[in-house]
Parts: sequence; C-alpha cells; structure tokens
Amino acid sequence: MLTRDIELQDAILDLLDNCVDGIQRSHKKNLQSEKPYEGFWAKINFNERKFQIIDNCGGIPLEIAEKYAFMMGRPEKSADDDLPTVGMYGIGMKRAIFKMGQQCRVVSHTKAESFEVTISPQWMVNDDWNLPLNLLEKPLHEPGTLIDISHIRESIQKIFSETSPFQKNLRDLISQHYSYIIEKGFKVFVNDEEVRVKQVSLLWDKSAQARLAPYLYQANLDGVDVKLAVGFYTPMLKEDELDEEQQTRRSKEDAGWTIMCNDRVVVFNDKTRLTGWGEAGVPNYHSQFIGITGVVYFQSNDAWKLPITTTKRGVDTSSELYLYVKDFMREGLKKFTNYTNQWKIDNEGEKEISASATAIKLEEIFSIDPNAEKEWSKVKNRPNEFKLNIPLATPAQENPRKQIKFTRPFEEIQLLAKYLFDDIDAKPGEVGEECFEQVLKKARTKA
Amino acid sequence: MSGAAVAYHLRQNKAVDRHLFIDLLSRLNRYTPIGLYKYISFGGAFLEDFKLIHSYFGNKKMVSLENDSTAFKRQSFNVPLSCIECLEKDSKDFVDEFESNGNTIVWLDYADAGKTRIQIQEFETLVTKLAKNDIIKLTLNANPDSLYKYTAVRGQPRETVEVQNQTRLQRLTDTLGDYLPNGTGPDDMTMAKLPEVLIKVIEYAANKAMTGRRVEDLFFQPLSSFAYVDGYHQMLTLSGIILSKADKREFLEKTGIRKWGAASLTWGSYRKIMVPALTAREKVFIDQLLPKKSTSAIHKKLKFYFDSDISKSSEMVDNYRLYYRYYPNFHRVLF
Repeated sequence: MLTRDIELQDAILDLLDNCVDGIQRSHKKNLQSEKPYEGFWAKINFNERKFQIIDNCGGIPLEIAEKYAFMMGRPEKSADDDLPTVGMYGIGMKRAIFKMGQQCRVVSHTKAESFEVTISPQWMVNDDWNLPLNLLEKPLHEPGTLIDISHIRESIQKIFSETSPFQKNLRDLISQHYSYIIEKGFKVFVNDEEVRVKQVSLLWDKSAQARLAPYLYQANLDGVDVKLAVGFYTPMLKEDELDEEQQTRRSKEDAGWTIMCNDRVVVFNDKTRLTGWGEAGVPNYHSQFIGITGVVYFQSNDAWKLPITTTKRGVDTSSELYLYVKDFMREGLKKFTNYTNQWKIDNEGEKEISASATAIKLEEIFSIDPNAEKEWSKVKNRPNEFKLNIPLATPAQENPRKQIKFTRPFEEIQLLAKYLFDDIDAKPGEVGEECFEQVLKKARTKA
Repeated sequence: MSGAAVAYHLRQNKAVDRHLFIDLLSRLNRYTPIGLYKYISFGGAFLEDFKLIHSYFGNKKMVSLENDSTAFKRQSFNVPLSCIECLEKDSKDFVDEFESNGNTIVWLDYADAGKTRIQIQEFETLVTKLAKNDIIKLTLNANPDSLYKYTAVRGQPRETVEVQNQTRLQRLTDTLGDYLPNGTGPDDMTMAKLPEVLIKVIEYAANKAMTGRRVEDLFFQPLSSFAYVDGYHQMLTLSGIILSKADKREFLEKTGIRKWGAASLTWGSYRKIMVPALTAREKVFIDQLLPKKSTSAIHKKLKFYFDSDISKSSEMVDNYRLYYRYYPNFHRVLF
C-alpha cells in the first residue's frame, strides 16, 4: 500500500478516536457495563469532492473546544484526566483535516450548548491560531459532532475516488482497530455500509488431560488491568496447505499479536520482534505458525500509564509495563511454536486433538475470574497476578513417528496415481503413502 | 432446472457468453480498432473463441496458452489459422513474463474451482501491466458447491443449509483471505449471491492493481458481467477495459455502450444467462414469435413448459428472449 494511503487512514482513525472519546466523556457511568457503546454510531462519507464524519457521541464541550480542541497540540493537564480516553484532540483533528483538505466546518452539539467553527484555506496557511466560534441552537438531531471537509487535496481526491481500493481498505482497517469497541455496541458506517468485525476465538479442549488450551495471563499492575491470551485460532496447516500458503500468502493477516489499550487496537496481528517473535528463544514468524494468534489488553483510567506511543498507533517499547508483560507474551508464544514443531511430523494425530477442541470467543476468555478457577496459578505468589499454563498434548513417545520426504518425476507419480486409484489427480502424498502401506503389508507377511 | 433439460454436451450458455463478448467487442470497435489488438486466451482443443474473433475482426496476432502437454499437442494439431501461436505455458508464467507492446485483449478463462486466490492474483498482476485501452475478460468458478458440498455420513443427521453455508464461508475466507469484502456472511454462499461477492473481490483486485497507475490517470472500467450454469458448475465472467479518466466521456459516447442491454458498467451486479436447451423445432417455432411476443404468449403457443416449476420456465424463456440472437445452432455436419 502507498505511504500516503496509510497516513490518510491514520488521519481518519484519529477522527474516529475523537468520536469514541466523546462517548467516554459524556457517558462516564456506563463504561463498565457490558455494551457501553450501544446506541452510538459514527458515519463516514467521502468522495472526490468532500469528506464528512458525523457522530452521536455527545459532541465537544465548549470549554474543551475553546481551550484544547482547536489548539495545535494539547496541554498536559486536561479535563479528561480521570477518563480512559486516548484522544488528543488538537493534534488529531488538525492533522486529519490538514491532511485531507483546505476547508472545514466543525459543528458540535452537546446537551449544554452548540457551536460551529469554520476553518478556511486562508487560516490553514496562517500563523494565527485564533478561530472564531459561533454559538448555534441545536444544529444536529442529537448530541454529537459533524466535520465537513471540502477543497480536497488533489492527491487525496484520487484516493477517495470510486476506482481506488481505499474504501475496502478503510473498512477492513476499522474492523481491525475498532473490533473490540464495535463488539461492545459501537456502529461505524463507511459510505453507508456498516463495518462488520470478525470475532477472535481460540481453540480450547476443556475435557481431556494433556490437551489443547490457550495460555492466559491476568493481572492488575499499578492501576492497569492486563489480560493476555494466546493460542490457536485455526488448526495447524497440513504440508500441502503450507506450500500453497507460501505461494499465495493467503491469510497471514489473522496470525500474530494484537495489542489493545482502553478498547482500542494499537498493534494489529504483529509478527515481529516488537511482540516477541524471533527473540529470547522464540523462533521468527513463519507460515507454519499461521494458526497462532494472541491478544493483550491493557485498561486504565489513567491514559498516561498505558504503554502507547504519542501517535496512539503503536506500543511504547520502552514502557516498563510492556517489557514486563512481554515476558509472558513470549512464554505463551513459545508454548505454541514448540507444539507446532513437535506435531508437524504427526499431522493426523494433531488433527484429532484440534478437532476435539471448541472455538471459545475472546470475550468469554477475558471474562474468566481466575480466583474462581482451580487450574489458574498465582504468578510468583502475588495476590493479583494469575496465569493459566496447562501442559499441551505431546506426540506419543514410544514408537515415535518420522517423516519420509522425497521427490519423483510428475509423470511417474501420475502413472502410480492411475494404477492405484484410477485417478491421475490423486495427491502425491496419497500416492507415496499407499505405496508405503502396500510394501509394508508385504514385508509384514514375510516376516 | 431439472436434470433432464440440461444439454451437457452442448453448453449453450457458455456459447451465448462467448457471443456476447463478440457483441461487446464490436461496440468497443467503434472507439478503438479491435482488429489490431493481440488476442490472448486459453484456446483448448477447439480454439472456438479464436475462430470467432478472427472471423469478426480479422486479428492477425493471436496467442493460445495451454499448460497440459497432451492437450497442447492436440491444440497444435487443430490450430485453425496460421496466425495463432500456441504456447505450452502456464497462465502464471505467462502473466509473470507478460510485457505490453501494442494493445491486447486477454481472456483468463479459468476453470479450476479451488484456486480462486491464485487466479485473482494472476488477474491483478496482469492488470498492473496492461496498457491504456487494453481489454480483459476473466472467468471464475462461482459455484457454492465447489466450496463445500455435504455428503451423507451414515448414522449422522443431515446437515442443514445453514451449517453448510458456514463451512462454505470458512473455505472461501481461507482461500481469499484479505480479498474478501468486509461483512461477507454465510447468507452470501448461495448461487445468486456468490457471484456478487466475487465481483467485489475482482473490483478490489482491479482497483488495487491500478493504484500504481494513478500518475497515468488510468482506471479499470467494468463493461459486462454474466453468470451461467452449464452442466454442474456456475461460472462468472467479467469483462473490462483500462481507460484514461480523460477519455471516459468520449468512450461512452462513441461506443454507445450505455444503450447495450447486456452491459454492467458499475461494479456489483451481474446478468444471468440461462437459456433453455432447445430442439431445432422449438427454436424455429419460438424465433418466429420473436421479438414481439411475450413470455406468456410464447408459453401459450408452445402448450408446454420447460420446467415443472412454471416460474423457472418463464425465467428461461425471458432469458431466451434477451439472448436468442446469440443462441448457438448445433448441427451435424458431414465433411
């Protein structure tokens, strides 16, 4: 994807962040409920001439507008100190508007008051930061914010055009970054089409002894709630599926680590050192690990304690909190890369194990109370740190399996396929296996 | 359609699709000289489309691709015109090696059901290389049953459509990954809806391919899209042209394509080709009533239906009334 498209996507996500901040500000009490964002929506519409985002998320209070929202940057002390917001109004909004166009109208409607600010092309190039703010009488149907951007920049016009893949990319990006918030009731529309999210589930077999179960960790560390889960979302790939995967790079997207801070995704399906791949004994990411996915969730009312970068689109790698949690991420990851390596020689045995596991939704996994579960253990005997680290199934030790691998001319394989199965399209693996079985049978009767 | 009415050996719907492509090209010919284009496609043993294109537009540069060596030898034996170059080559290698010189018409006529992602990726790679006014046609398998079909297991209850569609969606997601449109659900895994999903996938691939061409101001203009069933499989075909934004108005005016009844100029919708397999006597009889008589009038005169389901029979006759001019005549010929 082109860099410019990515920057533009981030700018739009910044505006969407402001919508969610609006909910968190105007509905403080509901945030602990199961669906705190129910009933709230944001609608994004764009074409080559204009960009519009409208929401019903409470609007921008006049005081914030005057002191922060339309300032470049934002003073450290602010009105949202005790709220789990990550928004930084001034920076995000100004950057987003400037990125897309040269003229803009912002309308805000709160329960208390309403106003309108118009930013003109002249202001955009001026050093004067003062913007006239007009008070209005209930401009919107319900409390919310409307941002209209026109005089769209030429380079952005092409991205906004119907013939650009941007619409789908944006919808996919929103579904990734707002998955948790949307699951908790928020609705986002892009050009009138609602954004749908994929629910993350992990395979878990709760019946047997040694088995398939996710690695889980939960803690409260200095006022930050941490929840971590890693495991398989899909069974391991078979040899031929792996070959195809390497050729077509089909669904890599679902593997890797996702990090959330206060319901927002800040890192999505990462497969690099950032999240522990390829360091301290964990192998580098490879297609054979395509079934492994992990999620870390940080929540705090004090946004400054969260391990996020100032751009809000990344994790702060120097954060002590993050470095501490990363040890658990690696421990969990290692468990499943080991499992993959152990089982790759016995695909069928593994299939039986993963087939008996059920997909458990992340929501359900994160709502477990470790205090009430026998199998969870306290980390270093601390009262508020728990993990679930059950041994996974291992291949049988006596009579272990070994892999046979060889290549033969295609014509010869086809000849055998026809001979054995009367089907020249039989898979080379099937042909090899059948040859082995027949000779084995012969050998056994002679012995 | 009841099985008895399907003419498995005749493939009349595919023939209609092929003739509609000729019809499309003759409209494009008003805007750009089709006869000077290089025509590239998978000719098979019969090279039917090559004969048609050559007879209508006289193209002198034609290339047929075949990856199966047995079929290739047969194709080389059958090659009907000296201007057709037969290459024993896989479509992947062809796309990788393709270099544009002069205008091209390419028809990627894929048949394999399980390789949709590879096919879409080849299409996307090719589109990045096409030149202004190049024409491309893509055929894909759009059959829900190819994704997954329930087979009875003794002692186990039969799977409902809902469960089957869930498995189909999973397979499609596994195959297409990030190409799949946001919000695709199990309800989309039907004969009617799957082509729409695939059209969105093609739209995304085509638009993605064109992002590098923003400098040239080029875009992919869809022109027609059909779904048809021949025998067992439902196929989807989509044709489009690489246009410059500045030329769009002139293109629409000169070709008059908006007045063409079979056009699909925006993404999303497709037209169904489902003409009935007619006997020679039926065809002559119905043709005598066309284009004036209505579907119900035709049924009344025929005194029978093509399907026990009357609405289906009506749909077939409706469809025939749309496409009768493209309907193939199959005759026994003695040389």
